[in-house]
Amino acid sequence: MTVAARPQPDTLPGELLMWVLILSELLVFGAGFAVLLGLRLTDPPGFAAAQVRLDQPVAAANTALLITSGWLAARGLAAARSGAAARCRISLLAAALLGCGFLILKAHDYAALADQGIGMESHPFFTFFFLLTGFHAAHVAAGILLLIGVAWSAQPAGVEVATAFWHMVDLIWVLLLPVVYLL
Amino acid sequence: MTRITQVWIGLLLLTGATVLLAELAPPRAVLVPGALILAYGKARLILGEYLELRQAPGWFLGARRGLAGVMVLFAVLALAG
Amino acid sequence: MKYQSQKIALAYFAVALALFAVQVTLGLVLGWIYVSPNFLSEVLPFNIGRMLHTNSLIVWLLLGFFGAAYYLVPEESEREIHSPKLALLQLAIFVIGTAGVVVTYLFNLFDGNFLMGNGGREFLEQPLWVKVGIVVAALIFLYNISMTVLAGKKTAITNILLLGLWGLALLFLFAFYNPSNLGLDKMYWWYVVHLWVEGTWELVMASILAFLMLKLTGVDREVIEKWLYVIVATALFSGILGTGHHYYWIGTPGYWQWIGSIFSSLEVVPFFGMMAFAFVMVWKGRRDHPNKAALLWSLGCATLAFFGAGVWGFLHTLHGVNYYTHGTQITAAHGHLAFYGAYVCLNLAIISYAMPHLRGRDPYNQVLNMAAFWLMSAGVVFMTFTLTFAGTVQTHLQRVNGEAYMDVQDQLWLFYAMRFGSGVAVVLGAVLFIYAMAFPRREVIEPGYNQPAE
Ligand code: HEM
Ligand code: HEM
Ligand SMILES: [Fe+2]
Repeated sequence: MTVAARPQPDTLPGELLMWVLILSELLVFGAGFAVLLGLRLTDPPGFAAAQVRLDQPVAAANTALLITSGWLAARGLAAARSGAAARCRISLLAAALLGCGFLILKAHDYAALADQGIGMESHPFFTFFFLLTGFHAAHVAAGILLLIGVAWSAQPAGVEVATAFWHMVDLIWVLLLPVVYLL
Repeated sequence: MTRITQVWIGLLLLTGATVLLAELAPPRAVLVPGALILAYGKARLILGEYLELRQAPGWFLGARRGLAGVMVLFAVLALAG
Repeated sequence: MKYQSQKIALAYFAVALALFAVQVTLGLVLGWIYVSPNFLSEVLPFNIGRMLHTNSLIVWLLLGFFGAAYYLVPEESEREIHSPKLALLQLAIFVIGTAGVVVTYLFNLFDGNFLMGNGGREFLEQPLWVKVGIVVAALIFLYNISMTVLAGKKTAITNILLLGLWGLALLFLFAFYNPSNLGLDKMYWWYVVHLWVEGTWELVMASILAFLMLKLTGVDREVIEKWLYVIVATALFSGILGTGHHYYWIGTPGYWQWIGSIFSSLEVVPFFGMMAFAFVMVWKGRRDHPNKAALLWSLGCATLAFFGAGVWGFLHTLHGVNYYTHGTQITAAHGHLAFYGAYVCLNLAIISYAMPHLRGRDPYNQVLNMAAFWLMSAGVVFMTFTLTFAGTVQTHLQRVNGEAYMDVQDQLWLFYAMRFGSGVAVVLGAVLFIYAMAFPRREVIEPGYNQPAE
């Protein structure tokens, strides 16, 4: 969409609307992370005390799960492109399965916090913790459905869109991990 | 080994490094930039390889710059307190 | 005009413009009540006048959208409207319903009656029987348009238009649910009002603008469709959770302050996108379309919508700011420029484009029309400034210094007087527009006449 006279910028791989979505999501999560870090400045000890209640090993395990799931999704796309429908389906369903594992661990995480009587309103840190991770988990759930949906036909175009969504979910998580769990 | 798998191993190594860093519990001045640089590395791999942005060098460069800027912002906010 | 049934649009536009005249005139009455508070206090109490001003706005904008759909769908789908008779029946239902609202409220008939009486909700203020009528009319409309589109060629423009119109109609169903808990009432009320103007109506706006750009600039359809999809995606992404910017202080949980602030800030993006879209298309377009007035309204629409909705919306959308400005004249400033820029100008743009075809008047006498654009737009922009200043002073005196509401209002007199003055310009502009559409029969422009768009 630039002037014809200028040299063409390189074209984006994949679906344009997917990139619009990815950028929008990154803006929203990025704003959330920045606000969280900004609010922390008003009460560093309170935030630190809240953060230690989180289960970091579970978060690390979840990271490994999502990353591995992203690897499977990428393999699924490669298979779809080379016309290997069966291999594509297996990879995508395995990726979705690991996504379910992520959600199960996440649910345990929430349940453990609830057992300690911690909720959305307990502390500003937890407001953001639940908002950001909850919103992310909703995307994981949507991504699982998408993966299962495109595994059905195993067409490269559809698989490309679903796996791009899945990598976006992955991308957001690796950025969320340090900000919410470590800093 | 395919490139996709190499990337996966790279991501796992970066995650391992993040866990290690957290276990060592260094002072914030080390922890904050360390954790953010590792996250940047992971994000860059996902964007460039899995989302195939490497095929569009101009966009990829822009994305890396934007990401780096955001990481710097996070670091400043995290270290300011 | 290629298809006979496009003529239906003429009836819709005529009724819409008549109501437009009523709406701005009522605005003028309200504006005068602000200057001289006892004006007409027995005959037309402020609250009733205000209700009629805002409701007639919504009704005529919707009639304009329906007319626009009846005009552009045949052209896009390349076939006649499924049933012109049903379209006229739909219009009749709307006219009767609107008359019913006016009579009921002016004379406060049936006070308290659940079926016939008033309901007490801004913008959605109709007796129940009228609401039912609206739903029936909407169903007729959706049936009629969907059948036409399904039978004909499907384009991105008609797809998005249909999506917007279906969403608009489905959201209206929330207007039937009016819980007695005031917090809940507001929560559902915004499902309609916000998700209309910052969701489904935006889709209608984007698709009509796309249609106008397609016709006026001659840019390739593929390019236009790409923009259209991106605009629609960003509008829905930001607008849906952006509803949170109305959930700051009505008793909804505190996290809405963050959801609302973050998502509604992104709502600026689609409005910026539409402005960029309009200007880039005109710049790239090779066609020198003779209908300069339609082009002027289209560009004015995209620009003023960006300022009214995007800039003036962002001004008070962060909850830290809204804490002070909520419900002040800042809100009224934003409400006027946003509605005018986005939806009034949009309707007047498509009317300006369609009228010469509908009335067989090529090429077009559009000088009066363009004068109307400048007069009306200058009026609304000036009104926005006076209200913004009034709102700033009000916020400071009332919300920061804690002075009493009426004491503050007394000090804002000068702003209200100036607002009235700008309102006169708006009404004159509206009258001029209607005159330019309805009356001149002969053309004063020689062929080849070429006035720059701005
Ligand atoms: C195309 C033109 C117009 C549009 C789109 C429009 C739209 C609106 C809207 C949306 C509201 C409700 C605002 C809110 O809830 O904050 C409103 C209220 C009002 N309008 Fe207009 N209006 C127009 C013309 C006028 C004119 C010409 C005047 C006269 C000066 C006027 C005076 C008022 C007044 C006094 C109110 C009540 C504000 C209050 O309750 O404080 N409007 N109008
Ligand atoms: C064309 C699009 C839009 C229209 C027609 C519109 C119209 C209005 C109207 C009439 C109101 C007053 C409602 C009432 O309380 O009675 C309002 C309120 C509000 N609008 Fe918009 N708006 C639009 C877009 C936006 C956008 C894009 C934003 C944010 C960036 C925004 C932010 C707000 C906020 C924060 C309020 C609440 C004001 C308060 O607390 O009093 N609006 N809008
Ligand atoms: Fe809103």
